[in-house]
Parts: sequence; C-alpha cells; structure tokens
Amino acid sequence: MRFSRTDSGDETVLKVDGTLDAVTAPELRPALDALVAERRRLVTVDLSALRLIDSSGVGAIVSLFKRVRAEGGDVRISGLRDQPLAIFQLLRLDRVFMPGS
Amino acid sequence: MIRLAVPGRLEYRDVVLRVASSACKLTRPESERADDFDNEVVSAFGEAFNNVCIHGYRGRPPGDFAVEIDVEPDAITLRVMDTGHSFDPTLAPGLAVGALHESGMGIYIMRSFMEMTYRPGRPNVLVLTKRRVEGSSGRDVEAKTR
Repeated sequence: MRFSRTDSGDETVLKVDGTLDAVTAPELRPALDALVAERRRLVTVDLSALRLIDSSGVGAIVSLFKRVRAEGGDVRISGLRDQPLAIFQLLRLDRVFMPGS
Repeated sequence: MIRLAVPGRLEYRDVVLRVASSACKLTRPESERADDFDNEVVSAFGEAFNNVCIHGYRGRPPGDFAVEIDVEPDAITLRVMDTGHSFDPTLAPGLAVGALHESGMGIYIMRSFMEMTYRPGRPNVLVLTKRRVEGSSGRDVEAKTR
C-alpha cells in the first residue's frame, strides 16, 4: 500500500494505491489521524489505483468519515472500481461516499 | 485439489489471496478476464483469513491456516481449517447495511458473497463455495431466487 496527500485550499486529496487491508490499514492510520487533527474541510479519498480492500480497510475509511464529519467537514471517495467497488456496493457505502453517483 | 498451509499470521495474507485468485482463473476459459466471481471469492476468503488470524489465534500462539481448494469448471470450494478459537456464526452481529460500521463486517461479507458452512472443532472447518453462473455472479442469482 502506498498513499500520497495533496492539499489545495480547503480540500485534501488522499490517494491510496495497492491493498488496504488488515495488514496495511494500521500504516494509513497516522495519515488519517492527521487529517482529522488538522480539521480538513473536504477530504477526497482517491481509490482509482486501489486493487484490494477488506473490512479493516473499509473500517479505516468509515472512521475517517465519522471523525471528519464530527468536525464539520466531509469525506468523498473517487475512482472506486473492481473489488473495492464490489465491497462498497455490498455494504451500501457507495451511496454514502459517492452520493448521486 | 490445491492444498496450502501457512502460519496463521497476517503477513501471509497476500500469499493465500494470490493462491485463491489464481484458483479462480481455473473456473473460466483462459481468454476471459477476472470478474465479479473472482472479486467476491477473494473478498470472502480474505475475511476468513483475517478471522482466523485476528480472532481465532487471539491470545495464543498462532497455529496454521490451512486451506483445500476444489476447482470445477464453473465453481470453487475453499475448505479452511484452523485450530484457534471457534465461533458461532449464528451469533455474529447483524449488519445494518448502509450503516457506518467500523468492524464486524467480515462474516457478513463471507455470507453475502459465498455459500458458507462452519463446523467448530479440532480443527474448525469453514467451507466457502461459489458457483459461476453465465452472465451473472452467484450473488445476483441468489438474490433473484429468494
């Protein structure tokens, strides 16, 4: 798993590549905690290069969503496809993170 | 039959998922690409692996995670065996779909994507099965027949 963060005004794009699972989700946690601590207003999680996600990875993103929303911000997801899309659709989270799609 | 046994530790997750993914290829013609069938099998099997490593061997030295994979032209069966703590799948917490869960989604994902049976014992045996149906994933077919 690799990730990169790009800030532009109030928006942050967090791009996560590879696999986000029980092994790698803990590696992403500090970056997610930083977004919450900095009270970023809009966080877009770009998953266009994410190959695989499991329930631990979903849990990390849901945790980010809850905490950013609690601070008055919002979290969106872009680029979902293949296996990660299947998981988000199964859990009906695509409607939460990609409203109107 | 494909047989694999690895230590029940998360660092072996990629190894076992690669084997399952490769086995899925044997259920379809070589010319066809990975599809929903593969995604759902790998997702369910990955949750089974997590379950054993995170919950099964919690508080004890990890034993093995063993799997036997039967591949047919249109189906796959994964028989997972471990010697960790067993669980009662009927007591698994329900999942309000669309709710914002941070955990407890593993069994729901397994059950949704594959047929699942579980027998606690020494070893615990979890069997995950999925049949390929032309033009549709197994999940779609199950939904239509309910």
